[in-house]
Amino acid sequence: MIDARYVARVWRRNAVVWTKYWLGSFVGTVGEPLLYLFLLGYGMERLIKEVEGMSYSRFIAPGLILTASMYDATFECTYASFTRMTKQNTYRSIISTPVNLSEVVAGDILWATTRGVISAVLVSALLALLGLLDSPTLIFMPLLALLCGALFGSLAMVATGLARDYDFFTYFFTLVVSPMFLFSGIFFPLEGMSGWAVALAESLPMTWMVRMSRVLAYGRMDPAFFGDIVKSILSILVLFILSVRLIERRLIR
Amino acid sequence: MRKFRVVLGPSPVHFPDDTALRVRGSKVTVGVAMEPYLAVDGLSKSYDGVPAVRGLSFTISPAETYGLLGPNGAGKSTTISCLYGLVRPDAGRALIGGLDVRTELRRIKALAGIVPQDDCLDPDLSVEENLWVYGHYFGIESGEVRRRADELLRFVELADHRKKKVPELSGGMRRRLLIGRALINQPKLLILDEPTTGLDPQARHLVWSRLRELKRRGVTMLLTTHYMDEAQMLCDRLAIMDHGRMSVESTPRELIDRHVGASVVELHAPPPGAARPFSEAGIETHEFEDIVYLFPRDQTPDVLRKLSETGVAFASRPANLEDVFLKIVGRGLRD
Ligand SMILES: Nc1ncnc2c1ncn2[C@@H]1O[C@H](COP(=O)(O)OP(=O)(O)O)[C@@H](O)[C@H]1O
Ligand SMILES: [Mg+2]
Repeated sequence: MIDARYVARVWRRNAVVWTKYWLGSFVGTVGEPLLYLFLLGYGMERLIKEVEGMSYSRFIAPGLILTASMYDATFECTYASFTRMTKQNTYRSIISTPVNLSEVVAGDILWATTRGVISAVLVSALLALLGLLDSPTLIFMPLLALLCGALFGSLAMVATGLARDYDFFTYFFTLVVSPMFLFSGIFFPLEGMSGWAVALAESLPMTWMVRMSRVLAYGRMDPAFFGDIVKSILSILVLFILSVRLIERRLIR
Repeated sequence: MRKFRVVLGPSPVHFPDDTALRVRGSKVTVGVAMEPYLAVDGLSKSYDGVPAVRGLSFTISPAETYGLLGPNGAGKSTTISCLYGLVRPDAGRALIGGLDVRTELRRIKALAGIVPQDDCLDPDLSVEENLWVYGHYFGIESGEVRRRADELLRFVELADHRKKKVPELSGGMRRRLLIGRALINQPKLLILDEPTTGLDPQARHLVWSRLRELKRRGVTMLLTTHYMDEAQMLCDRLAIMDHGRMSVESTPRELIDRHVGASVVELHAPPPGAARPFSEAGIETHEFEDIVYLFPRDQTPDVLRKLSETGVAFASRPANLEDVFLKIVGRGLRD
């Protein structure tokens, strides 16, 4: 049902458009995590001497790498994909060619993933240059960003499949994305919190991502690592299939 | 003209109107079969229980131009959308080039060109990029797609605007680009949904001339329109549909002859009862607002003589497809 060659053609369309504004796209995706790092990190370090045996900036750094990926993929598959699907009729015109709708959706998610990987590479390179992170396993961060981008791209695509208008995304960001950002262990350790809070955090895919990013950023294995990978891959599959269903229901009568 | 051809062996597509003569007890079927390039059979589609297309059937021969005419809401766009997978029909089937829409959609889309009713150019791309990227969707490699794009930009007279962004284009330019884009895969079948709606006369004439050129090159075309002059000029055959059903189907000439006759006489704001003598003489009359239309057929000279004696304001003109359309669909507004 899905042919990778056709997915690649949709991906390529998005890449062609991106080459027109690529420079501007980095301002938000790379600038935002750095703001958190410098302002929040610097401010908090006056209060917090050490978290888990390291500086506060070093503690939040791994999560900020994937924050860039998460937001990139999410913006791409909400506002941008929704605009292409509704206002611009781009999806409709692509499915008038041999490309299927599932391939259009996959192409958009793959593009969102690509953006997420690029941002993760840039942010981790910067953090390494700053000397905040130095483990050789940092090399594998793009692979993790791949999982992260695909997961949040698919999740955002589900939101796009459900959205009636742009207002829907305001709710999506406030109720889903922001809690994911704030409550996934990026800014404070989840260990030692009460049972329901840990259970809630564990249900958020970003929590798995942040835990995996610490493994790669510090070069320190975590017993949950492989479980997190499996959970992420399964979530991507489920969310992707769900998003295709939702969008097919909308576009094909 | 329809092309008939003698087929030995089972004809590739079987339809009710195939005049195939089967020799009983023999494996060989000998018949005179029309091989349609596109065949729609019993197509039906409802939206939330409201029927939009009801049991529509028609065929289009290779290289033929076929028109679907009908008022707004007749089901033209729904029919067309069924042919490339945008709408899934509830019943019936459609074959294009011998391929079933339900199972061979990808191959069908590869050989068809589609000009949709509403604009769906890619606004993030320039004119030429729209052609390149669209060509890539078909898997045409870069060198070839650029060569074709250059040719098509000349064909639709956009070569001077190739670097423009889509939002900067006029309505006529956008429609020409849509047509150019639909030709990038060198389609065997071109499907056009209201290709000239909303265009100014110059733009319409340019579009018509390009469609005639494609027709000469042997492209099979299916087009919808509610401009009767357009249908009369471009279509080899056409169907008038209303409420999801086909009302009549034939060549434009035959439809005019059959339903109206050669000429129409219009009485302008006639006094009450002015048309009665004619209808009593068996002449078909239609009254609408302040005009009475007479379809006098072979009694035309007679009718004109009588009218000039009465002093009623009238005009006589050749019948056209619009007369047929309004007679069949009625003159009431459709919104
Ligand atoms: N996506 C849709 N959802 C619900 N109703 C629709 C949809 N598309 C068309 N219709 C309805 O189906 C009927 C036929 O529409 P359409 O095929 O667009 O006609 P035409 O192209 O001849 O104007 C109309 O009554 C229209 O309101
Ligand atoms: Mg229509």
